[in-house]
Amino acid sequence: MSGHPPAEELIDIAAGHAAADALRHVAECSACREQIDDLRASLESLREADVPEPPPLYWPAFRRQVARRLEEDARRPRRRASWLWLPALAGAAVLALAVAPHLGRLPPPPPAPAPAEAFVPAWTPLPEPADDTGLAVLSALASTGGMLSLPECEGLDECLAGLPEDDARGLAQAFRAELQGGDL
Amino acid sequence: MGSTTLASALPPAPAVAGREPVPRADEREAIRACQRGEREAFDRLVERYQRDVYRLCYRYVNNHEDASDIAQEAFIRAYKAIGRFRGDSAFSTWLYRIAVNACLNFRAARRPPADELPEALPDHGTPALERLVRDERARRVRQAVTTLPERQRATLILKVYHDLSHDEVARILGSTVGTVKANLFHALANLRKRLGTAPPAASAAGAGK
Repeated sequence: MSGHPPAEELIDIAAGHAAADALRHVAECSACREQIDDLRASLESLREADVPEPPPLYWPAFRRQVARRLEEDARRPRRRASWLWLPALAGAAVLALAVAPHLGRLPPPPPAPAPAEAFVPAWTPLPEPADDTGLAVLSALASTGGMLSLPECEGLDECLAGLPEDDARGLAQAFRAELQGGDL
Repeated sequence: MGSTTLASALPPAPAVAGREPVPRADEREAIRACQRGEREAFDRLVERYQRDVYRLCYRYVNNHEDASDIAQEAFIRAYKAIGRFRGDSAFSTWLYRIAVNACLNFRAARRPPADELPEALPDHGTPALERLVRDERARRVRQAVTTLPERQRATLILKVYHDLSHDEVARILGSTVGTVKANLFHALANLRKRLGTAPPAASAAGAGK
């Protein structure tokens, strides 16, 4: 008796597409015939296990749901193309690199008190120049010359780089006090 | 040897009341329209394949809610990818591949097991006890199918219920014809075990290659 057919060939035999050699073997081998009978019995069980048909009204509702989702996807704003946001990202990186060396000169701020309200707006508009307390502080510090002696400089990073350590610490304290509404 | 072949043991194409098949030429035109961005044309394709895709998904997860969600997701993905459909395969083969991937990716939500959808129309021609026995047997078979390993489950569903060729199933699952046949063999053997009928003593063919 020749060797037993492999699994793939048994499937073909069950489907009636087997080669003559395989069929001859199966005719003589009760074990293989039994396997083929089992395959067919399993298939018969599967054939009887149909899927419950949904109610007729389900299908129009299904199509409407698909159409609605496609419409929502079409209305959703697309992500900006990378060529739009990459330059902004690059600019932010340059600014961060310019400021980063000076951050080490400032003493670490004290831990901020817990806010009374949990709500923090995600974005607030910039204040009008007349309402910008930060500018007032800068202007006062620069004009009085009391606390700071700003060196001659052309840009912000150059000014910051030129500040003595005590003045840099003092500037940081002045900013924090102003923003928190307290005294120096 | 019996004369029952795999083809004759396969279920006949489901006779769906009220379904008007979309001719092939119309299907090609609908696909081209979708590729031009005409979203409404996609509805014709959904109507043509909604039952097949739903039934494929249902056999995979064995409940209506999940099958409905996955089937919708499959069509959404198909529309988004239709620009890449080149006609190298039948549209149905391409769509089934998307549906199978959606099934494979599906992670059932944490919800209580849903009752199976009851039959829409009662079968008055069959005695009630016989119907109960038949329905219970069908429920056990469907449940057993969902416990099969993923690839065996997908192979069995595509071969037995969608009457696809080995080659088409191989394309959908990204495998070979030999693998499809082997997976089908092992799926049927596993099914027999899980339904409580022990298979005969393994022959050299069934035990390995």
